[in-house]
Amino acid sequence: MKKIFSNGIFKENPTFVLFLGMCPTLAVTTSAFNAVGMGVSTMVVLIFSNIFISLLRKFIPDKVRIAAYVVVIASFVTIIEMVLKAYAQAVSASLGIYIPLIVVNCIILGRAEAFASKNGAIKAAIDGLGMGVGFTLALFIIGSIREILGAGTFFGVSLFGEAFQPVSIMILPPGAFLTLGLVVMAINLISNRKKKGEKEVA
Amino acid sequence: MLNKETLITSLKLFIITAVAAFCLAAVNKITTPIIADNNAAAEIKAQQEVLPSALEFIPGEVEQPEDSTVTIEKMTVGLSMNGDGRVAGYVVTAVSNAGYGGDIKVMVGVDKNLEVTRIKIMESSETAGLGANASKPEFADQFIGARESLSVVKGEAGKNEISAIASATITSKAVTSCVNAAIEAAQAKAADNKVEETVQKLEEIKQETAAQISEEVEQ
Repeated sequence: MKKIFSNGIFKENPTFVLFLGMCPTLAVTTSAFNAVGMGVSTMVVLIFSNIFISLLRKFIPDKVRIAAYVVVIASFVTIIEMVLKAYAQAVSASLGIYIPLIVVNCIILGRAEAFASKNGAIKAAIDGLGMGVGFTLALFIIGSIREILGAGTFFGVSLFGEAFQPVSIMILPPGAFLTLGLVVMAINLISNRKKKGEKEVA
Repeated sequence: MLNKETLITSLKLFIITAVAAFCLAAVNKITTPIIADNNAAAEIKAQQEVLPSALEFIPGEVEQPEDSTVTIEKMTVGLSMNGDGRVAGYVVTAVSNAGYGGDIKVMVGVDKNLEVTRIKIMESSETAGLGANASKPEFADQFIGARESLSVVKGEAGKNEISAIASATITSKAVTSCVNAAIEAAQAKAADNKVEETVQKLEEIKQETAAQISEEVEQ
């Protein structure tokens, strides 16, 4: 169980290792707040869609499984959006823009295909939670770097005072690619060293 | 060829889509009126934010501005707090298509003295950190108290001038043209109201005189 959970955060981190869901990763990470909002929304949807798919895995015919997943996930996300709009306006106001984006997030479809369709509901929920936390963490890292450098703020709080000249390119689209590239480089560097160390010991 | 497996597969897929469609329809039916109510409440709240002295808002008609980049989407007349039906001001929602990232929708409150009370950026896709700063008070509060057509300048602003957001002159100009259109619309509406009032008064005087004359004739 623990392994399934930590799998999504480190070994198979959806953003830094699997490179899934690149569209929201690049588009909504202009600030730490946006990044966490997108991450948490995705996590909630991912957990529930994993449970759904897992429960339906025996019913869904193999040949048309992708079509079935898309229908189930899209309906589920749309229902969440409508319910939030009607009963939780505050949540909907801050997360509303991310929810339609989740429909096209391939992490959800990817996990349905790779994990939920082969495992029980509880395992699938834990996988969703782990992947969700990993995704949120990744977006948070990228969003924080971009916000701090590009706007001089962190969660909207000014860090350096008036004299700081923000590096505007970091919150513009190119900044997303720059940050992602550098973070992935750093992670690969660390994990390669670790592997090398293990080999030398062996 | 239609064999048993194909039949079962398509039947199962049909069941999945049918159940999904049914759930969506049910949730939609329940939530639509609630969402509509919420949106209406949110709109009244937004209008009160830009025109705090008004309690109720009734829709008004207005001509489109000369500036072809701006369309007036909605105009409401705000009635004052004490419920005597007096006009407290006007709320104009204008959309400029000349933003850097597309359309910018601005709600502008104009009080009965035809001074801008507040502006609020409703929708925009301006660049985060640059054009998106238009909603910050440093820029938006410059419009408070404006009465006449404004122009955008870089650096310090003088009378009837708005100091542009650094590196976002296009956004600044688009927002300013929305506000200009709103001021114009409010002026036109106020003039209209005056004419209506005068016509009404004349009508009353006419009726009174007519009544007097008929009384005198009877006597």
